[in-house]
Amino acid sequence: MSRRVLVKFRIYVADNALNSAQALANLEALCRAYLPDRHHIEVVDVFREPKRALADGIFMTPTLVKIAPAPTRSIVGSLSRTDLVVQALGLKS
Amino acid sequence: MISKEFGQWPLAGDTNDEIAALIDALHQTEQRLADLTAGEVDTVANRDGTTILLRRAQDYLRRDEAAKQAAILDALPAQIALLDTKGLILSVNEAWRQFAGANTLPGLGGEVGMNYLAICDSATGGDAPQARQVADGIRSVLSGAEKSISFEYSCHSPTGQGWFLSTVTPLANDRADGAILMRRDVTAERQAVDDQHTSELRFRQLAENIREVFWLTNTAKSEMLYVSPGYEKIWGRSCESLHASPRDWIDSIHPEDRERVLQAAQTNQASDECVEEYRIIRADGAIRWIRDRAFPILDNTGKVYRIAGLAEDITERKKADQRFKDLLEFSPDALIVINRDGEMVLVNSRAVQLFGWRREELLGRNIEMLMPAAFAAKHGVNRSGYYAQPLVREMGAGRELSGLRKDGTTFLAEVSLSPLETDGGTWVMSAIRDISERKAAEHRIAELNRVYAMLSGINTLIVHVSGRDELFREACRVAVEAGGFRMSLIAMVDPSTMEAVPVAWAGMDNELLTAVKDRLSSKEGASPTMIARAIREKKSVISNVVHNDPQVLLGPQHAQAGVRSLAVLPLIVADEAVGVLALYADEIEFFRDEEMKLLTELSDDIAFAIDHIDKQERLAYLAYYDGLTGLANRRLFTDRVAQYLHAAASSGHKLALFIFDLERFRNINASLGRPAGDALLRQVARWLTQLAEDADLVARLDADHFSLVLPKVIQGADLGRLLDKAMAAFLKHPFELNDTVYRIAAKAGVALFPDDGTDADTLLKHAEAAVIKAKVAGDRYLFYAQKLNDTMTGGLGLENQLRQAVDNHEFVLHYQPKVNLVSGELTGAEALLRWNDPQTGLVPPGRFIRILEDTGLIKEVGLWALHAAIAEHLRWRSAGLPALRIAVNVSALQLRSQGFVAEIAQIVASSPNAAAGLELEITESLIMEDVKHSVVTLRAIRAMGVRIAIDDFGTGFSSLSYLSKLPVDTLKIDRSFVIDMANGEDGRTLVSVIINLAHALKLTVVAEGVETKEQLRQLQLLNCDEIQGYLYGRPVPGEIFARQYLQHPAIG
Repeated sequence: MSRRVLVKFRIYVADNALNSAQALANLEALCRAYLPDRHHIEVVDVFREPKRALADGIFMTPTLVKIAPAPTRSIVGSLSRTDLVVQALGLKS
Repeated sequence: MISKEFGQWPLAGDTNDEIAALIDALHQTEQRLADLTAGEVDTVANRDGTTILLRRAQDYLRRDEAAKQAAILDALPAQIALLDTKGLILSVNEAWRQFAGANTLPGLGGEVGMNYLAICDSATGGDAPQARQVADGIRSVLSGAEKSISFEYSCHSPTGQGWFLSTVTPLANDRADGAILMRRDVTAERQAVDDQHTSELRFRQLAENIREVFWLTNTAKSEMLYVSPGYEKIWGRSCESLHASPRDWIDSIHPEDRERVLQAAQTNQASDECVEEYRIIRADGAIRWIRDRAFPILDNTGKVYRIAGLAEDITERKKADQRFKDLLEFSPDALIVINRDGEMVLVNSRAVQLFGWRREELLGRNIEMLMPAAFAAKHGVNRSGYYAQPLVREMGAGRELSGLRKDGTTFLAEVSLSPLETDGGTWVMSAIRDISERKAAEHRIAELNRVYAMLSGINTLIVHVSGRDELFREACRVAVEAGGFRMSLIAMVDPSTMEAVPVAWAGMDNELLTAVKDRLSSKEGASPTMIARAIREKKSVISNVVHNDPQVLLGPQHAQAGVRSLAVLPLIVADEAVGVLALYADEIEFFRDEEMKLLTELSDDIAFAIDHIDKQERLAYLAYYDGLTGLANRRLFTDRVAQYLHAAASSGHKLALFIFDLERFRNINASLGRPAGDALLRQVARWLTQLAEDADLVARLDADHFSLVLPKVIQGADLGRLLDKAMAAFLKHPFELNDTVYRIAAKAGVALFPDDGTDADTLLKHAEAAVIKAKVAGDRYLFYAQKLNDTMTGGLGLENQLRQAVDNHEFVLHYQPKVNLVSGELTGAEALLRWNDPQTGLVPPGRFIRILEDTGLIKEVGLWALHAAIAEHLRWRSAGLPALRIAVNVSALQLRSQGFVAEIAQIVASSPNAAAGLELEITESLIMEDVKHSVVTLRAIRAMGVRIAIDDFGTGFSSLSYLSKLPVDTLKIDRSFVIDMANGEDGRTLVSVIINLAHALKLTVVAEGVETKEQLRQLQLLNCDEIQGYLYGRPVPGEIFARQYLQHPAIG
């Protein structure tokens, strides 16, 4: 994948719960490291938007979804293990 | 991944077991989920979308919330402490901690674990009361007595005295398990309030002392917080009334301004400074102009919390403005003020009038609309030039421009500019004067000058002119040459036909002149002419536009002659229009008021000259003719006689010159009045003219002397018979005076050529001498014979002799007795003047009395006679003889002389008996000559005791009414009546009437000239009182009289 392609994430969190906060913080760190200036993170709080999560088929938080580029990938958890996350998202080619 | 067991959330109402089971299942499920997710998941959702927060995440979130709350509390600037029910400090925030750490004083500190109530209770010093107040407040909240309590108090802070606001609220609403104490340092706010207070105080002090009204309201203007006393002066209302009802100020605004002011107040004042000028109606009804400047006052947060204003009375300024406006408005010049862009911002009514635009059509528009295109094009440049150096430019400095009116017409204008400094920059005021009128006026002045030149020329003419023809001819010439008239004409009224006849003209062609003459001489045609009208109405008739003017009958002819306007001015002499001056001008409407004023003056001057010439001619006439009778006067008559003499000498025939003298003419004048006398003279003149059959032969020489010349006395003619007939006819002629018929007698004197003289003067002199002789002699007429001539020469010598006689005391008095008819007693004597000429002996009075009177010697001789008579009387008295009263005749000259009364007074004063011895005899005609004077004189004399007698009564023209007023004692009947008694009943009746009349007036009657016994008898029958006459005694010298009548009375 081209380095210029914008990577879009959507992360589902449960307010400021520990795992959710850690996942968001890890994601932001990861993006800074691997996808500087070409990432977009949308945060969805399931307490605020419960119907959205349901519609998206998200049953647990925190869940990270890579929306674009295809294929979409989902990772549940605090994203503490960066290497696994990078691999799962296919950021390292 | 979600199991079915999570299906329904347990609901209330289930049994405890079920609940316990469910909770347990839940806990287990949670545990399993956590395990499954290795603690990595926070929430799990079931199929319904219900999100379940896992325990671990729950715990975390709870802790997180508390931390957040603590952080929030710590971030607050207020000092917050959490107290338990006992007042123990459970926790404090950062602000409290810091404040308490810095503050060593009790009452404000307090760390976690300390009892705050105890701290407050133990406070000492100045802050103790406040501390205890705080403690009380906390206790009342902790006890549940108060829901919340808040108080402000002063306290020592680390930086000095501080202000604090403490709020105590319960920790929980429903139960008292503690309290939250929140304390805020409000020192700065309090300071701000204090500052505001101070500054407001300063405002107030300032406001109290200014003329303007300072006011302060809240933002809604619902409350008047302050108004300075100036309000009372300007508004005429009390400040209290405004405080009581703050909306009063709205009501006081003039209704016409109110809406505008309110609008401005709403929109502007709250945000920005706002200035409004409006009128107010004072409580006393007076109107004042107010300038009100309002501005918002902000608090230290920048919010508006007050509105203040400064209102001043600008009525005077407004008046000044109005005066300025009035000044502009009523300026005689058109005034237009323009701004920098050339737009008109002010125009006065004269400008509106001058340009024909309405004011609203001008305002705001460029001034170039008032200039013709050529000027307008250059104006922009000129204006910029002017602004570069805006100086005052006076009128009449050669800036003649053209103005453009609304109707498109232009006019010559003079413009002056002056800069006007205003708020809106430099404006320019232009004063515009329409000088077309002035130009027209200059033209008019030139016209008037022509008239003046003409007036002056004609006035010069009037001074020099000697005859009418010259006057008329020259006046017409001056009118055309100096006056610039095309033509001029003078027509005079012919008194016989009353037609106006042209007598002089200038600049007139024969054709028009003939037309005018024809018109004036035709009977029907003349009447409607302007000339005839001017004469008839004695008013100027003007036609200022000759063509098509119906009053100009010869309009086409005049127009052809170049006449555009004409005026006909009457020449009025003695209130009669004797003629007209007609002036014909080239110009239309030449004869306007001013011209007519001058021209009327001119026509008056010409009329004056006509009158003057008439009078001169009349004067010349009077030099040769008698103005009263129209006969030749002596001068002309002498010339004529000379001519006749010349003819008589050459043809060798005789010429006769007659002079007539009317008898008693003076009496007629005196008694009937001068007009009657004049009428008599005119009638006599007519009679003589008829007699001579030629007016040239008759003349009036002086007062009552007429002359008639018979140029050719036919050989053998009996002049005597001619005169007899003439004089008889004259005597019979009825002269009508004052509607009564009078018979007048006359005397005549005749001189003949060549017998009595060869020149006119000599003949006249000799005829005069003859008439005098006839009068003296009592003849109807007398010829001047050589013998008569000698006598008159003697008469001239007589005058000299009489003068000598006065000097030589040659006069003597003779006395004639008066006798009472009843008693026969001697009652008095009349003194009669005699001249004892040493050469010829005693001269009878008829020969010298008239000469004494003519020469004035009679005054001297008369006075001597008075003295002599008194001396005689006194002599008789001292000799013991009867003291008879002596009557002395008084002449006209004596009676009329100023000193006569004084002379009598002196004589009377000579002796106490003098007055009783004197009687004055004055002829009736003399008294009647000047009755008023006579009455005054006689009354004065009579008051001295001297008696007065009317002499010769019956010969004058006395009327009864006069007689009754005369201060006299005696009436002497003229001898002619006494003689007439013998001639018949009429004569006796007349004397009887006189006697009865005299008696009625209580007068003594004396009959004179009694010569016969018959007369005496008659008089006795008629009850006459006294008689005098030859019958009883002739006049005799004093000594003889004394001897004959006094010592030996002979009458019995």
